[in-house]
Amino acid sequence: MTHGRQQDVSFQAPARHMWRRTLAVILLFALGFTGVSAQLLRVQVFEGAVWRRRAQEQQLSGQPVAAKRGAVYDRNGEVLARSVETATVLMRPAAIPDEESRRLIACQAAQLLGVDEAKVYARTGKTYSNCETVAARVDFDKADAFIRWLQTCSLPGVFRIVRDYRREYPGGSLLSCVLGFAGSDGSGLEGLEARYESTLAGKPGRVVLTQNGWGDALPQHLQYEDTIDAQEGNSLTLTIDANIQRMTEMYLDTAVRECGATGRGCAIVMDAGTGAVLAMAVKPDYDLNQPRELNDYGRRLLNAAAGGQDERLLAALQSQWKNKAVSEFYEPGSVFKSFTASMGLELGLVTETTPFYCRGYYSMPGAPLMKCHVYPRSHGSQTFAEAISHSCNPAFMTLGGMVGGENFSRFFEAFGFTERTGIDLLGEARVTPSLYHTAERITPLDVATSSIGQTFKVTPIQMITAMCALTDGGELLQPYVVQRVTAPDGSVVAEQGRTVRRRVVSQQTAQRMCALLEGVVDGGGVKNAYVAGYRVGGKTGTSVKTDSAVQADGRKNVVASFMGIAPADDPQAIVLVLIDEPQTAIRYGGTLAAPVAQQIFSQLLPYLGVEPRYTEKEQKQLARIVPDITGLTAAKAQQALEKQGLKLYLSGDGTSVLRQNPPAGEPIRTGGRVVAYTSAEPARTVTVPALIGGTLAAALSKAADAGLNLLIDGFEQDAGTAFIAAQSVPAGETVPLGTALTVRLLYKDSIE
Amino acid sequence: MKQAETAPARRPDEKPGTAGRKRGWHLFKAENGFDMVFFALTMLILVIGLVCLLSASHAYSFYKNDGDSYHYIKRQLIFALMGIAAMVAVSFVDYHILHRFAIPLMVVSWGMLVVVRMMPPIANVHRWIVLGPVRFQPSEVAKFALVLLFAHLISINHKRMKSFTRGYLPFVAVLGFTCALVVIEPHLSGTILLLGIGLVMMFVGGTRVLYLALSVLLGGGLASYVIFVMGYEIERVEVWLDPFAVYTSSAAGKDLAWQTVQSLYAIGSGGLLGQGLGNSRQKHLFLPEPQNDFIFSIVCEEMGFIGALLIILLFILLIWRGFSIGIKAPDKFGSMLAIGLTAQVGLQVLFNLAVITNALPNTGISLPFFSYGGTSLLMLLAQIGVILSISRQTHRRV
Repeated sequence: MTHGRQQDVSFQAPARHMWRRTLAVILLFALGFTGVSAQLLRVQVFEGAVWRRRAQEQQLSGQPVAAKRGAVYDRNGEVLARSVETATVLMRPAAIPDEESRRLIACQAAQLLGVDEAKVYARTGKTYSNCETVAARVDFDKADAFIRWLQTCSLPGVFRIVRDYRREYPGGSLLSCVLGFAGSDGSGLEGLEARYESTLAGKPGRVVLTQNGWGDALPQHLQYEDTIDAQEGNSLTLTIDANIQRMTEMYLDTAVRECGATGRGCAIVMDAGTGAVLAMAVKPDYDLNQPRELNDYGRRLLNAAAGGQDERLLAALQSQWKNKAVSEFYEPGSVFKSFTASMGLELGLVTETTPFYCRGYYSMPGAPLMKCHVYPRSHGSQTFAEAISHSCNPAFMTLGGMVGGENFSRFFEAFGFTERTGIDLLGEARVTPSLYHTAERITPLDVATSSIGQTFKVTPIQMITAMCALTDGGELLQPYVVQRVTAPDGSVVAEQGRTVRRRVVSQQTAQRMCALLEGVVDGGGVKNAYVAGYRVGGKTGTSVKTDSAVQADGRKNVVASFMGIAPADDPQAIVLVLIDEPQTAIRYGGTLAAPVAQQIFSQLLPYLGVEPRYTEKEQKQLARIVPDITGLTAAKAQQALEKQGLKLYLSGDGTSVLRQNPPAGEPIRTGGRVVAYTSAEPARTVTVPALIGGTLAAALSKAADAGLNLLIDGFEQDAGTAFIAAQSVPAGETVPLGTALTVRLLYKDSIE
Repeated sequence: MKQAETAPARRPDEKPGTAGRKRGWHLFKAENGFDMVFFALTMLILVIGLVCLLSASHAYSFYKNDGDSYHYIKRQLIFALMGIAAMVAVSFVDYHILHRFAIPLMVVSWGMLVVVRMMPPIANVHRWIVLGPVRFQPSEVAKFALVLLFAHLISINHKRMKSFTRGYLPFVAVLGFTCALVVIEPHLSGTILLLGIGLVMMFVGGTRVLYLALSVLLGGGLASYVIFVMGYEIERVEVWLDPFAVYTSSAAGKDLAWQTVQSLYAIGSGGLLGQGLGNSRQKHLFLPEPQNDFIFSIVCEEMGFIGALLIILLFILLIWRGFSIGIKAPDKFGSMLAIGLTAQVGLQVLFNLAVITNALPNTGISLPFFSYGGTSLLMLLAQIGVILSISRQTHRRV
């Protein structure tokens, strides 16, 4: 072509240069189009995914689908926390046609969904809004009723029902300090719910809808819905046993109430061989289903605090939610002597028979006189075993001096008092060196005071974990609460068991220490922790809260505590009971905390399947089971009762027994009298006498006079010093003749 | 007016004895008929453009015109039919008659550019003259007038184009004056197009490359000074450099970068194969006015990179064919006219694609045959008619 054009002279235009320049322009255009095509390729293909994702953020309205939160079970599979499916009813006020409909909607919502009519009515007025809540997390049957009503009226496009979940705690306040709770959005806020949030939460799903630039749904043919299923969360199986938890909570609660402890009380029951927590209770507690309602403790804090109403309320709530057992420090007092003693044993400084002398005080140069708790009396000459059971301060200060600061600090650290236990609970307090005497700065005086559990602070969980090192043969364990994490399909995701942190003392030392602790309960002062048939060991403690305010009666507040192990020869369980700031006149660990532990042990040990082994003396005093004597002749009935060590009280003139009281199978105190009716007559009744405060002997004679039987809670080890602390039926009530009253014994002469 | 051209004696590539036989592209050519390839490409692009307009505009139209999804396509269809009629009609007119209109049309368009400055502004700019139901941009007329005048001037001066006073100054004066009138509307994209068209025609027409190069350097320097030193329109440049950063920076930035980012969203969403015709999501009130300048973003979203590339290929063929008609035109006037009109279409397509892909800063340039705009389409098809008219004479035989 070019050739032809060049030759064509008559073809006056376009000239040759023009042809070349047109070609240049064409080339430039080609270059330009190549450029924009390359740019298009880049934006559309290479960067396409990025732009597409960004575009989808505005094009898709993701409606999240709530994931079912995993449940929490106790070790026997009892449900402690669960999520139940609920419905949330949403509406689009912009689609409500008129005023009449607004009123109707508010009225029906109030009737069928149980929500506040005025509030719903106000929300229907927000015509600018595309989504307002009518009722959140209502039961499905309520939502169903509402949907049925909707079908009868013509309000298209106004309502939408979203499935979600509500967290329920069937036990109410049971285990509240450990479980914690989830907020209304389903995320864990406290306790295990927060600690295991990622495990429990699951993955929320999504329903994806397309929308236009104004946020409205796209036309039908372009609309698509895509559902990403929600993934249910994993479940937790705890080491906690709900039954043990219930008994622990019940006895602790009674004790805390009776003594009016202002600093709350807590109790921990730990498996002595594994470090698994069987029960953990804080009282007063709170209802997990209503966590924002203040309990007595919270109310007291609220009233005492200064500042704005909201801040005070929040601070009070947070305090009431705090798990005292792991998050608060206290001075352990004499309970700590167990560890000082094991240091002495481990170092070979003392044996059970090493003599100690108590002058009623302990003196050190340049320090004030440190008195024994019996001062101005003294324990005099005693063996080491006796010193433990006396809880003798001078003896332990002497022992501390023998151990020395360096060794004391080494064992103190080895027992785990300078670090967190690492228990899988929320809010374990951080241990700082300001709480104890570090190896660098410990003075002999510090050693002396520390030896009796004073001038340093620990958490309850640290104490019981350290004790566990003695009960499991000298190894410090990792305490834990979650035994197993289970996926929704039942497969086990994670499992936790006995985890050894380090060896603290030798096995012999540990065993000897357990035996010595039994001596404290058995032969020593802590009769209130005595459980018939079981060998309970333990140590009481009463420590003055030096940093607390002085009470009205001029005394400083105390912490009364008791830590017990049972059976002492083969420990199965450890119980730590701590009562903070009791307000009673007598406020020793032995009188307040030990009875709680005794009550827990007396139920716990049979529950754990530990066979009771009664001593001869115990055998004699053991409660008798009433035999079935109905249908028997009077003589035969007498025989049957005598075999059980019981007596017969015959009423009526018939030949055989028609009815009896107490009924067959009920335990009563040995020597009790069973009432037998041989003719049809109404049961005779008697008035219950007042027994509380009196001695056991007085109670026995009063009951016998009234024609009632007794059942002793606690054991009549040394009945002379015991008094009745409680009776099961209040004085003045009328009961049938022969009824068995349960009375609780308490010993006044407990040490500390 | 001096008529410099006479009809060519014969086709240079015509071989004796082959008169009756037609091979290759000649198969599509009737005697004295117009270029069937160019016509077919035009019609093909127009039909595709109309389909794409329907798809891109119906959602927006539905929301903006009380549920009438077909508001835009109806009007565009009417103008397209009118435009096809005009195109065919114009193709029958001997383009040499346009010599007579070259100077008057330029003067008229200047007059309109002055008038439009005094019209009430629409969306803050004085770009449209409204006459009853008809609304048109004088700058569109000015573009055609410029092409016509330049073709006229080059054809009568083609021997003296190397001269500074004859081959450079008059063109620059006309171009400068026209651009000045357009830039005060303000209408930056129109100005750029005018400059581009003028430059191409002067270059092809034979102006010294040295003058052109110096002018481009001077103009480029001036533009850089205005933008970077005076800071005029600097936001556009910032958006251009990183649209998403500006988009996410602030509410004002979001407004500023909105159109560009939404366009990139649309293009990126298309990917290689597209969402399918009609399935764009960005046209649902995300991309503003999807029937206008950014229609091709929606095309990219629905047809994918492959589809978009095919359409671009059709445009390239059209432009190539337009230039080819220009080269084969029987005279300088026809040549320059065809080249100028083709360059106008080509530049507009190129700029539009560059803008929607953010290869260039955002200026409002519509896409020929695709973007909504009745009078504009009518004029475009009439101009295609002029090219077809020229094409009739490229193979005129004695």
